[in-house]
Amino acid sequence: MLYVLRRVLAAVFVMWAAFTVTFIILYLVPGDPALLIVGGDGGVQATPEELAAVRAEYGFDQPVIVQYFQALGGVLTGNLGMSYQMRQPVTELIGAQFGSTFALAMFALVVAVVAGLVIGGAAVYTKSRILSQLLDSLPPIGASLPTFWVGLVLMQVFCFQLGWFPSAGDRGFDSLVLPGITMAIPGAASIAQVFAKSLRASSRDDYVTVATAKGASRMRVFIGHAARNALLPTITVAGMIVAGLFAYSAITESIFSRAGLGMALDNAVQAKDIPMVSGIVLVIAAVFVVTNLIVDLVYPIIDPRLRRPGASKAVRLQRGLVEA
Amino acid sequence: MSGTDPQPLLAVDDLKVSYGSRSHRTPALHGVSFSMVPGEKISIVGESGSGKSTTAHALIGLLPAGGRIDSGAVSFAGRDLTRLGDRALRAVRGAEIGLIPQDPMTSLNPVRRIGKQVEEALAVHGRAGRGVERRVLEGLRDAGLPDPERVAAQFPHELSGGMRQRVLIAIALACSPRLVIADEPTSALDVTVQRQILDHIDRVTAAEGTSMLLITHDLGVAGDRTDRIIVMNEGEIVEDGPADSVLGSPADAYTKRLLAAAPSLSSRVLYSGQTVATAETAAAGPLVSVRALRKEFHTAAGSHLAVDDVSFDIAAGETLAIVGESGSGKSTTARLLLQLEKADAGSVTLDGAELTGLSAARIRPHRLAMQMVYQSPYASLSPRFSVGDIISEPLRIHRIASAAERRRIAASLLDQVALPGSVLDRSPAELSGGQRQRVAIARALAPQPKLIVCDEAVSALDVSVQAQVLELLAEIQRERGVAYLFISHDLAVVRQIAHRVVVMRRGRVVEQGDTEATFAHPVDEYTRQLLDAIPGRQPVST
Repeated sequence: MLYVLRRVLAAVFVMWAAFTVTFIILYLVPGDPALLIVGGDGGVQATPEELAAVRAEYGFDQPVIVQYFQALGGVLTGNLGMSYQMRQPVTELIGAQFGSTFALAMFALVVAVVAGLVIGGAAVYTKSRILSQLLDSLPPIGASLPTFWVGLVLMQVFCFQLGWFPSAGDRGFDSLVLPGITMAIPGAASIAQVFAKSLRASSRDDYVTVATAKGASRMRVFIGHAARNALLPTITVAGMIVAGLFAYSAITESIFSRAGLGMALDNAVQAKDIPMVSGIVLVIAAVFVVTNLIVDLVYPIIDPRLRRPGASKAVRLQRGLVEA
Repeated sequence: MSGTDPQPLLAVDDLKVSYGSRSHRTPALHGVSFSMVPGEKISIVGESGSGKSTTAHALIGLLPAGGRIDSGAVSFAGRDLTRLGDRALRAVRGAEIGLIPQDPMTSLNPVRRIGKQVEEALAVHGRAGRGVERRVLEGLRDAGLPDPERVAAQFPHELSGGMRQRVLIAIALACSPRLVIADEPTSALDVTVQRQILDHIDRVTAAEGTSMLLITHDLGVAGDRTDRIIVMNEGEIVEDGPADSVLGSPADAYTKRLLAAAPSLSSRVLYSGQTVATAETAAAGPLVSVRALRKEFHTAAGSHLAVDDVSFDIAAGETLAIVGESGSGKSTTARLLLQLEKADAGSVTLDGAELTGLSAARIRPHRLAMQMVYQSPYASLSPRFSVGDIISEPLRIHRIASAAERRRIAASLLDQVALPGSVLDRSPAELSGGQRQRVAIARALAPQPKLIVCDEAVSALDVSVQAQVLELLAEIQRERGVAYLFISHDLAVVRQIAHRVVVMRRGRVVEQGDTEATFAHPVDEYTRQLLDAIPGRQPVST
């Protein structure tokens, strides 16, 4: 129980740190936010009175520390402020975009995990040296392909030539497939690499020899012993991938003209819409923190060695997050 | 030999095995032949690299990656196992030949429950129908686990090494095989546990008439547990005969050397009867004085008293051994003495100077006088340093001597540990285990210490190398008058090297005194148990 409490506290701390760092960076960005709000079009010259009114309305005339605590208080009560650009609450704007990105990221995660496990597993299981080398060479290729290029190629082949999937939009499952695969490739590559590496290590473990000496078949030893242990480090990698899927969704969303957090972040940065940027960054940080929390909590369920008091350090050792 | 029996259970004929890649192969077995009749118990004895484990694994087709049977036959109950297909071989493994592996700590799957792992041994041979749970529990009970229901529901990490080895025995015997191959089944266990496990294997195999092939490096174990001993060296069988005659009147030169090197409670004592500095020390007091040391470790799981009220002295030029089983606190005591760990209470004085409570900076000058040799010569030498750099590092750290001078010192130390000067510029990776341990000893000698702590310093070495290193340590002591604190679990080794001995159990000293007297007339019950558990205790005539 202490373990759970500590992990939750650590998660809260990371959220606070993410918020604070974002606040500081955006505060230091040059430019007067009041000017941005008033002169949205750029052409109109705002009067000093108008600027002063805006400053008072948004609290820019307050000392920075007051602004910080007001913003922090807002976050704690679920109020992320007003978008300069849209003149709507950031919470509402993000809420409208989140679902689309969430669906895309989850689909991409499933694709990445399945493809990663199959490729990594097959590379180790096959007795053919050539096939094994071929499968081993896929992850480095996948990791080095630029996402935008993959997206464009997939679109060219499957939309324009074969016509199987729509090239744009965010309605229905069909529209998820191509952007989902595009986003999944780097993740699948990391999972395949880590899984294959752990499998090769666990295949040399003594318990694998013992299982073989029992008379178990190769498949049974592979799935029941080697793969089961090799999954542990793979889960850590899968957890890290999730946050990346949200953070880098902008590229894929813009190629496939999907609404979503990535596109919204892109727009907000272009328009210097500070509350919107900080809101989205905060949401992505939250996704990162929550997935890591889930991985931390799931780990002891999968690895019984960690179900004991004082296992927190052991979990993080196992996950390779800290050095021994 | 028993080759005349009409129907041998196992007949190995001219077995050749090699390791390596397709283009470059190193032979490991050069034509091994032996046979055994049903119910027979045979040991294969040899040092590392002798091919004893390779033989065991080749029999059941479990050679590690890169290993291949080049020629020869393994006929088991009339079938040649080397020619069986995968499916047919699987039907033999586990069902007809069981394997008890070497290291119980790594041989069970850490994420699966014990019961399931025993059950699998039955399930893969189609014996997991009705009543399988009852059979699993029976198997665990037969393996000497008192509470099988509880154990079946546990995971490997919840069991001690001895209990895990019992589980592995239950797995190996689950299908009542006709032959059990035990590959160093107890070398990772404490001596008292080792004895229980070997007794247990004896009992169950005797009850079922199971044949046993015992792979071991320990001649004492081989003599105690089997009727026939096969001695292997460099991939060949050098001697094969009844245990009594192999141990009593060995025919082969290698067997003779092996027997001479193996420490036992009757082997020659190496230390000099008189400690070098007796006269001076009487006046000056002990070199090291440890008083009422105490150390408690705190974890979230609770606190654990690792060292409890430990006191002893080490005279200059003397060897004091601390013996005990795992968890006895012997290594923690050494770390406290060296100030690598802070004691909760108690004092350590070196040459009259109090060390406990000193700041890190103030301890540093004292560190020169206390050096250490570790257990694993593979882990304790940096692979990126040359041998010369390794030996002179303590001098470099303490800014002693010029670079040229340090090199000269390193070369003379190499000479002292009987290594050729040519290894000075080589990397430790090019050296054997015994040579590496000599380098570690040379490093410890470099700052001319008064005390060297040897933490299981010969435990990882083969007996013949072990004997040489022990000789070297004794010789260095005679010449330089250095004192040793010798941490060991091996009482036979301790008897050879140590003037005095401290027996520890669960953090406390249960007995201490003159080694010879203590071993001849142990006062404490636990010391007696430790001595009784030493294999080969009934000394075979030497």
